[in-house]
Amino acid sequence: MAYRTLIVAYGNPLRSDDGFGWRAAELLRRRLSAVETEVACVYQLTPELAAAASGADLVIFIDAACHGQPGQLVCTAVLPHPEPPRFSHQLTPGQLLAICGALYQAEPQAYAISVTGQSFDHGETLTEIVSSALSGCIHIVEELMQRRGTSRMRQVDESVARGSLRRPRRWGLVSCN
Amino acid sequence: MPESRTIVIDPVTRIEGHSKITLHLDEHGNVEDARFHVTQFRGFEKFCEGRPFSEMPSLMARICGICPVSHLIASAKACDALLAVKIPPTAEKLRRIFSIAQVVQSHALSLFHLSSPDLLMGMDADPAESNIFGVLGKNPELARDGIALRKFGQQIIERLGGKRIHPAWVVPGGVSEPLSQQDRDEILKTVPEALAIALRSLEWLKSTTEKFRSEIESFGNFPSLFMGIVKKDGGLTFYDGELRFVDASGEVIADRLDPSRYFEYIGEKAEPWSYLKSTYYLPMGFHDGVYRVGPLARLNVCDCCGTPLADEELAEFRQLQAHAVRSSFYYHQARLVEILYCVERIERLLNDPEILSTHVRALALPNALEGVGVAEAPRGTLFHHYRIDEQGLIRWANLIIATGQNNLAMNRSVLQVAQRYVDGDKLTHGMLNRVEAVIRAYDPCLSCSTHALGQMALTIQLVGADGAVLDEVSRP
Repeated sequence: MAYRTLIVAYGNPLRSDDGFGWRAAELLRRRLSAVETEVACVYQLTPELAAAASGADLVIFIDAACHGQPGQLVCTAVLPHPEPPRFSHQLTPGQLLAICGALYQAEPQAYAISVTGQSFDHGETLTEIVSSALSGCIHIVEELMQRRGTSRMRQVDESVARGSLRRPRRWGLVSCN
Repeated sequence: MPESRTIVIDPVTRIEGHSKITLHLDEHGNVEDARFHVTQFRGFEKFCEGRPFSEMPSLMARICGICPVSHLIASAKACDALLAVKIPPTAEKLRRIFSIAQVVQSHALSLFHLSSPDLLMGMDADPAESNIFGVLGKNPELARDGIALRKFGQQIIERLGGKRIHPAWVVPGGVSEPLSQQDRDEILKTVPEALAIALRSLEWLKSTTEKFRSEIESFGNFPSLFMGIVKKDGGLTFYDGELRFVDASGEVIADRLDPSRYFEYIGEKAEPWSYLKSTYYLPMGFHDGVYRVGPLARLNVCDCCGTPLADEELAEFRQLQAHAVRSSFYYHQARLVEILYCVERIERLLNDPEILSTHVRALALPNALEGVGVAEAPRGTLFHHYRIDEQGLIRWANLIIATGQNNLAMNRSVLQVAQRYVDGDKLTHGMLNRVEAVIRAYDPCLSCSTHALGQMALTIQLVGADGAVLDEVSRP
């Protein structure tokens, strides 16, 4: 049976670097098999995505962040986090996975790739420094997909679960860059 | 000496957009007035001036992330009027499917995501539990059903429009692409599950509603008019029809009104304390002309739904109250009846022999300088009215949205709930939540990308005339 990957790119493509995920998704759609990979571009993470995530073995979130050095790519392992959301249409990846587990008894491996944006002003183009991070993002996605189901990936997740890796916010961190 | 005081609920949670509520107490601590303030400003009517009219559907869709399809359709219909064309029959049927698919997903959002925590856990529940995690812990099947219904509507919008949010497929003169047989067949496969969920959810809601007898009596349960568009035979419609007003007894007081002459029946008034305009039935004036729109109103104004399962539910719905169904608590049930209707109607339209026709657009240059487009959005009747110059540039635009038409009724509803539940001397979370819940029943769309939830930090203060805080309830 095919190993299924769901890529969720989220952000606002009319807000300059916030559209990083959507741009990465466009590139990934051209490179990856549509049979094994579903690519979703959304503005925010909503509960409906839990149904799509439940059918995947691997979920990769791609987003833009506002903290850190512009252009910096960070890849974090995502664990289910059943904390009540502050906004009804804006879940975190961890909350989405918690819904996925609670409603569909599914626990896909999940990672979040984020780039630190330089500009979130009105605009449909990425800044140069963030645009240059696209290739790195594609590389991380392909690396994660190649590692899929391998012992190396499981070890990383177990380390995160034990808390032995750094956890920014509420997610475990896996350095992929 | 006792003083008058004001309670402020800011923000109102689990609705679409930004607002606050103020409750004004008299010197005895009784609620004497209530106001629902919309604190965000949009201004679409002004900044579209000077743009080519052909851009309007896509521009107007940006008004809202929840109901862009309704704005697309009303705007495209106004542009059809500017072109003075009759769009191809298949284009009209495809637009109808598009429109009611959105009704399904929007109604599901309102009921399952925003209001079901109140219905499942009660109005006095801990606000920390009144959210989607509370719902999935208490009734996971209901949560799954809500997600499935949302997905049903969204996948139709995506298949027809190319994307779920802000699709640009509806254009002046029709639609840009025909429906493929594969997409038609794929959508049809999902109909049985959606029908089963709609029926199951109705049974759940009807069995739950009885627990809220007190709220039913005081959640906007007052005489008012109701307005909506109906088909020529009086049937329920979301796409095209004539305006009808019924009174609180359920009697039709105005019928077969031309929607493009809306300004002859509907007055608009702005208040200094809100960015949301209020509308009223012009012949009866501002104070007596309060009317409601949306699911409750549509089921009060129509003669039938026109689909078998929804008509059975409509007959039952009409028995809820002896006259027109007046309590705004019943907006929830009306939403589910409409979901049922929409699913049945989608199936019927998809099986229409013409639905795969490739003739889906009428091409023309502007033939009129003024056009009005009217449709039923999930929350009620939506009007787009444009004037253009000889170059086809927008010179003036007026939008009347459903939430504005419910504004007076929402204010009265807040007052009724506050007078029933609020103890001015001691505030509780249950009181606060009921005041918000009556607003949620209307599902106001305050346009609309940020949606606050019950867990959001929230403070209500009792403030004395001298500015001193007399009492305060906060959510962390």
